[in-house]
Amino acid sequence: MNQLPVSQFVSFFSNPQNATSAVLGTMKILIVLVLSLYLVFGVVILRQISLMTKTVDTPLTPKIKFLGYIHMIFSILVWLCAIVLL
Amino acid sequence: MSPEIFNAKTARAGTHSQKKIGTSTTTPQFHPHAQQQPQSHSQPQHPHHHRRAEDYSTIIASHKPSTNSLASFAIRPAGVTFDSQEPDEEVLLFLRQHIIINIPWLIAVALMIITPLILLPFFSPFKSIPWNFQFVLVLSWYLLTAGFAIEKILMWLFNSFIITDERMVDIDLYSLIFKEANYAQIDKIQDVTVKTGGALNSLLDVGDVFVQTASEVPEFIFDNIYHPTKVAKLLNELMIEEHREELEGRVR
Repeated sequence: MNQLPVSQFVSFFSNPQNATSAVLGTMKILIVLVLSLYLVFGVVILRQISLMTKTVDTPLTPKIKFLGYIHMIFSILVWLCAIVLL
Repeated sequence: MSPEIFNAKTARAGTHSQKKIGTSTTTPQFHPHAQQQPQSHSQPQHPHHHRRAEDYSTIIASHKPSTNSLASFAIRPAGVTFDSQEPDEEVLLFLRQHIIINIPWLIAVALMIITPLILLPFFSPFKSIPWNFQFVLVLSWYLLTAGFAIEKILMWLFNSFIITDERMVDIDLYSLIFKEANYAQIDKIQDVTVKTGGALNSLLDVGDVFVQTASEVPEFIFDNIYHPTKVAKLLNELMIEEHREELEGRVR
């Protein structure tokens, strides 16, 4: 006799291994999603630096741009780590 | 005898020798024949003759040009330009908020850096998850910390006020997706107010300068700036010089 979907769900999560893998899988999706959004934030920072340095150009401009690129590279590396390691 | 400022010969001599406006010039007054007066002299002044800032401003004359890129109060900063700057327009003063306003977020960043090192060894739910998740979560935390710090650095660096010999510019970066730049001619300035409050602000000479203008933006607020009185004095000197240029027909 077939079990009801709710019963299947309960029995699946009653197994500790299944529950753990489901929680970790959800965490992985959430972490990758948040880091993907953060990549967009990194691009916004780069864009904003570009716009602002056009508005006001100071001797600090190359250093600020370098900071923005370093941050972007760090964001990509963490995103890749999440994809590869999780 | 006509006032000194209407004498082209005297005015030109003042351009090269005069160092302090407060000691050698008078406040200009309206004269109905102001435009005609210079023409009557044997050596007429060039209509676009423009005096150097140190000739009419004690603030500019008493400070060396700044080479510090991180300065909050930079007289004639080296290498600073802005997008709508005219070829013959000179940046006289570049202002940022005083560096002390960065202390709260610097403390927050320091706490964010040490939090994983102190709390995570004692946080049992975190220890129960696999190492790869721990690693990525800690990296993500530090990435978030870096993003927060960079945003604050950019806000401080780009929220700036520029005073040139022709106008003032207020550049505001409210967030990473919203910025505003306001411009007002010096001759549109109507009133300048300085406000300083609090023991720390008085000690560090930090305050706000409110500039009422007749331009599209009725009020410019330079908040938490270093040497607010000097800024107000410079604006007054520029206003007087603009008035003199107008009376002497040297308006560009």
